[in-house]
Amino acid sequence: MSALLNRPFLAMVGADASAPAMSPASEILIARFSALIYALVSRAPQAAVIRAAASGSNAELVHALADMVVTEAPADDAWTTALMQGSVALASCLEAAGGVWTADEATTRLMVKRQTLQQWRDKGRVLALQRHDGSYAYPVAQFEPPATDTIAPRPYEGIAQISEIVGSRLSTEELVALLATPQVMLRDTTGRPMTPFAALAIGETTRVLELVRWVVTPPDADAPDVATGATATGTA
Amino acid sequence: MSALRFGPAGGLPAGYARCEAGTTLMRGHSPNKAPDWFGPAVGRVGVHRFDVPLRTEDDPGVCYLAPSLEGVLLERVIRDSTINPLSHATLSREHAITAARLTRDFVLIDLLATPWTVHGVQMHAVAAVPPYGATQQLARQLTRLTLPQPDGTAMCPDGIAYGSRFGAAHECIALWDRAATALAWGETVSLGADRNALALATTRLGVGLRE
Repeated sequence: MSALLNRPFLAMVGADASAPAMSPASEILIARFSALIYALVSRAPQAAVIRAAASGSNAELVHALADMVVTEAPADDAWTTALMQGSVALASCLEAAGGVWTADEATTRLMVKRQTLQQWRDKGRVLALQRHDGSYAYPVAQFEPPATDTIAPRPYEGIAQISEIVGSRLSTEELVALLATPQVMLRDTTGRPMTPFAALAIGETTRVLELVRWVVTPPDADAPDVATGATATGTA
Repeated sequence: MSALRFGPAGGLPAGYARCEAGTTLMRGHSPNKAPDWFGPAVGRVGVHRFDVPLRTEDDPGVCYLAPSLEGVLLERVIRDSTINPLSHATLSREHAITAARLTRDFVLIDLLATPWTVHGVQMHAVAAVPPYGATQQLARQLTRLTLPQPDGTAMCPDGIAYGSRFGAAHECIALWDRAATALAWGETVSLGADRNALALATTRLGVGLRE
């Protein structure tokens, strides 16, 4: 970034003026992102701009910007747009469910060794989202808050059962999205949909397991296998 | 765009819809399951919305299809659960799709435009949540419905046109096995095979994708 622009830019984003200079790649990303935002807000309806500007969290801001990208500058490549929406959706539901811990944070909060955490992950006792660098992120909502400060949080017991039921039929991201999103099949006493994570927290493990079992059971489970040669009309 | 022409627009009385020869419908199914299945098997109880409650030799089996990929996604993948984003890998591995081309016009009972005024059922009854006892009883009645023809004969409709419970604008068709021979089935492909079409459909539904 040019020396002339550096100081006002750092002031605008609230960065420490004495911080080390950014890498050229970081500067290029910031410049590209700024150009994109400029192009978007130039075209977007004022209501969309206000919604983005007033967003209360980074995930909400990204969501609002992604909506602008989709509606104001449709990508030639529908695939890229869908992936962008997927990333934003995942970030939103993780934020709503309390965020994630890195492996270091998880070992500290759970008071376990990294090896134990890996074993839990391998056995499906905890859900872990793989990040681009190969490390894992652990959704916080899967851990039962301890009753006292002297006890570490532990994953809900239902998590292991859920992992066993799901097997490989959903990706871990899909499973976390399922558990972190209010579901109409899981209503609380006032009739409002609650998240499976919330249901686990109040001991409704059985209902959560029923929901998960239902989700991974294909609607045509009663249909014959292709190779059985059963008549297609279901008659004898 | 609708795959159906309703009532007089389709040359039919109100209460019926025409799906023209050449129209392609899609059947979402498990990769190892037969796409052209009209269930339940004789002697088995109904499972899905417009199955008959208990199928006898006299009852038709039902195959559920949709004219659009969104309809398939809503009825097969999304259903009552909320999962956003969906995984392309999961869609490719766990779900398949087979297209079926109509080799003649189909006449369907219209539960989209005239459920109440002609057939006497309101939308909440058509779109009722499981268990499907009420809609299966309705289906049993509808299987016996005939459409008088000008020459004095009676035509048996081929199935039911209805809106997805998860998005009423998305047409769905419960087809009876009396129409089975008028379907030309295409090749089965994974639901994730056409990435562009899948991405367009999920985007229109407001659902994101991950690799």
